[in-house]
Amino acid sequence: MISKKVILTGSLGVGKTSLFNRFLYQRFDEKYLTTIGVKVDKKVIEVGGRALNLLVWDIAGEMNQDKVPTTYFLGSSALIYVFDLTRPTTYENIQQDLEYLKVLCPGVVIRKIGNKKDLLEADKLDEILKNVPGAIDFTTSAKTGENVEEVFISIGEQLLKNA
Amino acid sequence: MEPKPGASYESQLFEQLKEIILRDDRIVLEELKAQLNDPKLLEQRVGPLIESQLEVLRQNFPDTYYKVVDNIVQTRLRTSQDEILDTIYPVMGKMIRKYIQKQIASLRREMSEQIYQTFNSGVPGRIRFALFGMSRRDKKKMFARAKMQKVEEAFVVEQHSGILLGSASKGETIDRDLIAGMLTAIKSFVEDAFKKGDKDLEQINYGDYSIHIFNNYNCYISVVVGGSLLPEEREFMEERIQQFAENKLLSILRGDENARHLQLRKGLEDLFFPEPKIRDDQ
Repeated sequence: MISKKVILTGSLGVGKTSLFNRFLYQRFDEKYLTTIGVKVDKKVIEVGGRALNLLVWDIAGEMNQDKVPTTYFLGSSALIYVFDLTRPTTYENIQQDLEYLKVLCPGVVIRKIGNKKDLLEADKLDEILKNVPGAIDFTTSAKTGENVEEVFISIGEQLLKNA
Repeated sequence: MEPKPGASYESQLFEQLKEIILRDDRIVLEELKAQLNDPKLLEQRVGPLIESQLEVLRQNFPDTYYKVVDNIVQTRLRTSQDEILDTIYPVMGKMIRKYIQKQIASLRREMSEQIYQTFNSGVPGRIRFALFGMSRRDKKKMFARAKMQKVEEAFVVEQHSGILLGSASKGETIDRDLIAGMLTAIKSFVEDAFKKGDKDLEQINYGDYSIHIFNNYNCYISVVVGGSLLPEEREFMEERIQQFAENKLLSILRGDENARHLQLRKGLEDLFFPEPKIRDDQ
């Protein structure tokens, strides 16, 4: 079975861990996350009849060059950049952050995710999406589970296509 | 003093008399008032008295208040026994365990040396013959080999990604993919946090176990050992792992990806959990 490392990153409080918990069956205690700033879990998904083992690293806190060990990003095959649709500060630096990550992890599959969709009405969501720099891949809700599975399936498809 | 209007002649005389007789006292009283109202003046007068009283108290405190304090402490200890135990026990438990571990390590070191000395000089016959011609280093290695039996689990993990390439274990364990991932995260954290040149994390101690990490170019081998390893034991293990990496690991990693897990498990089992050899005369 093919195994791939997937990184969850983004600003503080955007819902990375909620997405992580929604997608994965949690086995490690929260203290791992607070102690070393990362929690690792895995999920095997099936894409086009093939099993793919996703090792997901949930990196705590801010996506900042000084605050997160850069080595956490090394060896990753995919990267999920999560931002909070209700807080512009979490997506206003999205382009710079992604440029930095592309240099750090060349060739990595990237998905831009706007989370906390459940907090917004449809017309408000459309208005916000117009203000987010660049194209967004998915809008999700870790609370309701909307589009969470789809994010990982999309990554799996791309990874197997690239393999 | 002016006579008060309307006062009788006697009372005026009496007031004048008071004025004359108490004049000195009034002056003294005014001085005292001034001293009481001025903190600096008051301190000059009262300060030395307080200091001397405090000194007396300091000198006599143990005798005077010993029993009172002792009673308070004893009562507090009696009534809060559970709370005190709850606070002290985790610390004491860890301290005792660490002390025992250190003593066992020290004992093992001594035993190792003793066994080596015995085999080196005192044992006659077949054993001495078998050891004849072996260098001191080789003899030490022979005993270090026994430590390989203490290996509980071994993992081959891809550097950085933390993806498990292969593993072998004496018993059942929790998901090995997760162990490999978290181990890599801890390793990355430590190496990044201290940034001491190109040094790698080599060992993690956990309770009665120690996890030894042997780094290769694009992967690392992590070995979980019951107890700790002496330097010569670690050196021996490192040499064996190096041989395994050169002779088997590289070719397995370059070979069929689907067969990798199985081949690595077999390789690690041969290295750490070999089947007991059957003697010819059995």
